[in-house]
Amino acid sequence: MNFLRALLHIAGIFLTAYILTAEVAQAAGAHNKRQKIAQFLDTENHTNNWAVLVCTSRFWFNYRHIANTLSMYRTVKRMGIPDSHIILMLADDMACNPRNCYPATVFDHPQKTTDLYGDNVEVDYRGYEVTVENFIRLLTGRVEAQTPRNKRLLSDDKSNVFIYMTGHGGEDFLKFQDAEEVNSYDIADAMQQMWEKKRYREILFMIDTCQANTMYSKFYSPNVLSIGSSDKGENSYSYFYDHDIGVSVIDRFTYYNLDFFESVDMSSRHTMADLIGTYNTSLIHSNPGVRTDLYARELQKTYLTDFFGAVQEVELTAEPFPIGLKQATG
Amino acid sequence: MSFVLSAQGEKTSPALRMARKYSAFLSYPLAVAGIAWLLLLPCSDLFWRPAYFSENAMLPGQVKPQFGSESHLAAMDRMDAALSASLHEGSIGKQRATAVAEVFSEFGLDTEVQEIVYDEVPRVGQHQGTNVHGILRAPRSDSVEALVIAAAWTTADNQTNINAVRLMAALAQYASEQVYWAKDIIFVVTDSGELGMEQWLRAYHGHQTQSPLYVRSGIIQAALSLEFPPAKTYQNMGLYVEGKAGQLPNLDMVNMMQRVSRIEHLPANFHGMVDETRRASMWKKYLRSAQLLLRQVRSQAFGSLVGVHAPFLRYRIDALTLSGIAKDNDPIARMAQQQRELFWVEPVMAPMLAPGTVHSIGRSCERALRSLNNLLEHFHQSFFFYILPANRNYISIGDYIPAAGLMVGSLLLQAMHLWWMQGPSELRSGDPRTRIERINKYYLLLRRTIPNTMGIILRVHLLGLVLLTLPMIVPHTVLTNTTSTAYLFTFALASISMVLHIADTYWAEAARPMVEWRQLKALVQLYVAVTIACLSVMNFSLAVALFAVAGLPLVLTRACEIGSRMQRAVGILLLLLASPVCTMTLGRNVALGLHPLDFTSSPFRMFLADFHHFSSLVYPLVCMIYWPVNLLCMIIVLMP
Amino acid sequence: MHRERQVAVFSILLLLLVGLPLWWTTTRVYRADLPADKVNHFVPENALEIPLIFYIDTEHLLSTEKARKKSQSSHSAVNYAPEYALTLTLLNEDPVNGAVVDWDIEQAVDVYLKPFVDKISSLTKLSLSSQVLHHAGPPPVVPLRANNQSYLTPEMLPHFVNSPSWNFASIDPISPMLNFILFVPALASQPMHIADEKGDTQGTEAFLVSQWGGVAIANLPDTTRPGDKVKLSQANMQKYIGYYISQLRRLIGIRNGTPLSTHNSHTHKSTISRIDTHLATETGISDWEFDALLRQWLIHNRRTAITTLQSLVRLVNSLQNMVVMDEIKAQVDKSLDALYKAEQALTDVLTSNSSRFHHCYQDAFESAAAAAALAEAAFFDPSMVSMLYFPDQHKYAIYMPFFLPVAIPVLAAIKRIISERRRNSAIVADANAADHVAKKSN
Repeated sequence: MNFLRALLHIAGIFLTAYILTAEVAQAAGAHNKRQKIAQFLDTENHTNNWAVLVCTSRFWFNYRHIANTLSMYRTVKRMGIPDSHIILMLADDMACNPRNCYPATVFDHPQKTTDLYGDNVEVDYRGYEVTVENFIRLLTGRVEAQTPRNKRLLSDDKSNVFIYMTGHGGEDFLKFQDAEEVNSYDIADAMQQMWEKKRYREILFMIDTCQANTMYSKFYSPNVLSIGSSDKGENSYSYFYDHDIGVSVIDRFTYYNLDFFESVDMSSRHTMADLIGTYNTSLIHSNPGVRTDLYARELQKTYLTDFFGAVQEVELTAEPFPIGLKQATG
Repeated sequence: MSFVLSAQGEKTSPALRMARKYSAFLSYPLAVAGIAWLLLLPCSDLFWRPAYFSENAMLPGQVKPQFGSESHLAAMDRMDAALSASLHEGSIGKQRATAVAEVFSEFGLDTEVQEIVYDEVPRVGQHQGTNVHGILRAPRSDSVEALVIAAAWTTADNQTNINAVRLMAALAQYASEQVYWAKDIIFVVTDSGELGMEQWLRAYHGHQTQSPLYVRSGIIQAALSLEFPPAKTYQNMGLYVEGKAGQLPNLDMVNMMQRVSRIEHLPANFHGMVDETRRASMWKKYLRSAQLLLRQVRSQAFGSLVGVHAPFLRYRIDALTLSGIAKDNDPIARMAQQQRELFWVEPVMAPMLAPGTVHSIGRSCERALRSLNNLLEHFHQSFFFYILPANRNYISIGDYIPAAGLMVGSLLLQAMHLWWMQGPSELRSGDPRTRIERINKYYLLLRRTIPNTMGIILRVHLLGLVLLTLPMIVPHTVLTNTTSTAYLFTFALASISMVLHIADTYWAEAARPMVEWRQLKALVQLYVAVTIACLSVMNFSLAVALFAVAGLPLVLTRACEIGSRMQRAVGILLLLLASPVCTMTLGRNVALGLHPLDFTSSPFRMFLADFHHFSSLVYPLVCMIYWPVNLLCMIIVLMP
Repeated sequence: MHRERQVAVFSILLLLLVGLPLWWTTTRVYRADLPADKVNHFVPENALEIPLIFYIDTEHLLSTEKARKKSQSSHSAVNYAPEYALTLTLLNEDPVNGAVVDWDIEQAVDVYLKPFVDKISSLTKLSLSSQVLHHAGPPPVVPLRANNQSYLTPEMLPHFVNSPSWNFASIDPISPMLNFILFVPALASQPMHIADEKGDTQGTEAFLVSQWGGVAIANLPDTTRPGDKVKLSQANMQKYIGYYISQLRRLIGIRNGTPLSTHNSHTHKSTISRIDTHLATETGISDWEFDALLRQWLIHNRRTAITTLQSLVRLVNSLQNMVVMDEIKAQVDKSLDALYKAEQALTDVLTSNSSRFHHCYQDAFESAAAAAALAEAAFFDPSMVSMLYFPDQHKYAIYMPFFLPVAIPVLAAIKRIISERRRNSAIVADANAADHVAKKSN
């Protein structure tokens, strides 16, 4: 037994020495390469971004809610989140609505500078698929077995999720499709289930409806930052009216958010505090609210790109794996 | 059981005792209160509410109008040319309709000419007519829903509705140029007024096989009927909303029409009546509002002077009529009025942006069409039951129904009181020793008299049923064009039945006390109350009218004790005055809105025709409720 | 009256004894009992004793490695899944003004990638598919041009794969996707290199996008003319498949240099050494790495299973209105069984002989994987989504129209019975008193 142990010690020391030298040798040679490659490693705390954009109202006169959501979609895409990480839920189709006198377009400004519905819009939940049940299933991950990939929220514990909702709402509820409602307790419970199952790292919840601030008042899960467009008892108002199309085309709160994002791009270092600082009650005609007690970081240190941009780590592959070659290293 | 017995002196609860004490005379104040409530309706401060939009989807008047370009005016000229060509050939009817169909086809509409054959009154003569319609298919929608723009060839005062047809042509051209229609638009022109439109609707909904329609679209969601007699410009626009059986369109449709016409500075006023100015005195405002309300009562209760939109309301399609009222000194209008047979007038150019021109009215129609286009399915948000005392106000059903409730209450209270008081006077004494005897006698009385009372009621109503069904059965020679035959007929029936019943009562007198007038009156009041209550929701004006001519006399019959024959005679005379024969004769010009010197139209015929075509309830009510109740009142007066 | 009273009493009893329990049971939310105590018995952070087999040449020695408190997963690796969908895509930017490129992918995969897939098949299934996209169009980032060469800078790389016209969709909605693309730039953009901000090339044309897949850029030889047909043979593909295997290893979670601690009881010191991979050039993964991966995934799955089960129990307890079906309970039970089995298999390693080591490890791994899968299936069961917020006002509003019309006559009847009883007893008392008086007077 003693002999065996002695052998073990020697072997261990030998191996250690061997390894150390081998590693040093290799490390020296590949040091430069690795150093350069290491620069590419982005060590942010979250590793991917998801966006869930929900428009809950249908009918022609709710054109502006679709336009709100599509504008947010454009912004989020411009900032770098790919379609595979965006879940877009539109309850109605305005572009192909027969009442649209500019068919196949959706505008958010009477000057019609940008067609929001132009190229590359991927709507994941459309029309009657936008229901409260589907929304809660999406958030909690309890989708049916045959749900396709683009309708699933495949976030994990390192994802920052941006949830944007717009439509008609009231105190503690949000109306879906004129037929049903989701209330703030259900969303709060869904978020808690997300937390339990580690489906997010941080959530930014933005909502633009009447009495929006009541919707986030019941949240109790950690790391949730909420922004609402109007206080309890207040309405949220629409902004531009287009006399050709015959409807309002954007809401005030969303418009002023988008206005700020005009000056933001993928590399910007603007923070959430900057965004919230630009909210002007007299322009928005309602009192936007922010809830930070569940959020761990300070708003001055939370960059907009944390939620609106996409982080995708990239590593250079220094050399190909020597598959099929007969030699071994070392 | 105890409820009934207690009237005979049984131990009663305090509530019942109080009811018995007060019901004796409470019914009169209630009836008066009901009538007073109605009189208070024109007061602007009490029940009026400002009209508002409930339907968010409509967005009325929010779009830039595009009507009025060259091509639209050229369309009007095109229609003129086609019509003049057909009219100068001398024939109307089918020729004219074909010309219109051709013009519509040029705009790209699917057209069809329908030749209809109908009888105005059942089994009396056949009339012929021609309807023509063109459907503009929505370019990007499946034809599931449709909107209708309708016009008749003649207006209410027998002028050619030429400007409406021209306007329809221009609207058709404008509509065919746009891509944003979600519903098909159907343009209908009929030459037989409301009856022609009814035939068209029946064929459209598949209810008619003689002259079916092959070119159809989806469900009609709303209809707008245009009535624009020849004129250069219009000073006022009238809005007619009532249907033939008292139906009303959704209040949002009315509000929308008013909003879009106000934008063009020519507001549409109900029945063409302009509101008093704000500085006018209270009394003047009251009178104006009362006048408007009476016109509404007339239209709603009797279905007179409603407009070509009325048949649509029976199919639950929200519809109204927009009619133009020309200035008094309008040269074209004067010329048209002088030449009654003038069917077509040369168009005269008028400045385009001025209110009251065809272009300005066209823009109002365009805005109305776009609002209706925004609509999703039926109107369902705003009120269906309302009264319109002024142009921007309405009275909700909760504010006018109590009047009917009070009237019904007065009938019911009196019925209750009479039921308690029935029977010989000894039954009503309060002596507890004869209690059992009294109870037995009371039951005996009820067992013997109720069948006889019911028999009388049934016999009288049976006569009414005969009158109701007679026009369907009897060969048409009996009911000819003249009114006198109809009246004689009814009068004869009435007299025969009177004799029969008077004989009956005298015979009954011999074996007294078999039939008790109190019992009879109580039972009649019960079902009249129920009828008025049910009717008040469906057709409030008709319920009020029914109460006025049947319910009120019923309340007042034998209100005071009758002793002498003189009093009975006076009673009978008053009831004769209140009988249908009298009221229809005396009130016909007022009720039907006829010219004071017009003796040829017969209200009897009109009600019968309405019942036959539009399911209007006036004729059945007159036959089954009004007239029998009147006869029964007479019987009550004559009873011992 | 007696008959009436009988009926009244009967109906009251019927209501209370039959009606109320019936209503209660039929409107109850169905909740199967979850074995909460067994679940909470596990502590995920507890060390799991994994016997470690240590290779030195051919000697086997036993040591134990404690499961790390914090698994050091790299950021770029995807989580364990029983199946991965691998897609190999050839993107030809512009075949019109460039060469028409094709690749001999089946042969290449057979020779170079299949051994890897087969080796790993006992742990996870990699299903392969390939596609060629002609006219792929330029990438969404515009490379810099200098000296007749194109450069991609570091900021461009993360967005390289986000082109909307590159379709990497897979049919399978559940298995994680790993995409490996070979991008052939247009001749005008060739050769395309990856450079840093200063313009120095990095000497490689491949990069890995974490949790997504990998990219390799194929620069065609200078002599290529527009319209040439280029076929990348198996030999050409060796280099690119090599890149992919390198990236695949990172994505799956194979660590470069697995740390190993030897606890030397004599020296009371633990030395952390790094053993460089014995690069397995035949399969792409060496035995050592395979074992390390197995252990890694074993720990990860076990932890996932335990945390999921505990979350489920916590959730079910906190949301009283949530329906819990029997299938969920069955899955929870099975998951617990699998966890026990895994632990058992690991202790069996110590007692079994050398030929059965792998078998025990494999058992433990499979049990842990099954436990994790069952726990996730139980947690994410689609039946556990019902409208959970049901405030008391709603309950009153719904039940009132049912209960009130039934309750009122019943309550009235009870009141009448009680008042009659009281009156009767009063009469009886009076009668007794009268009798008493009569008797007295007599």
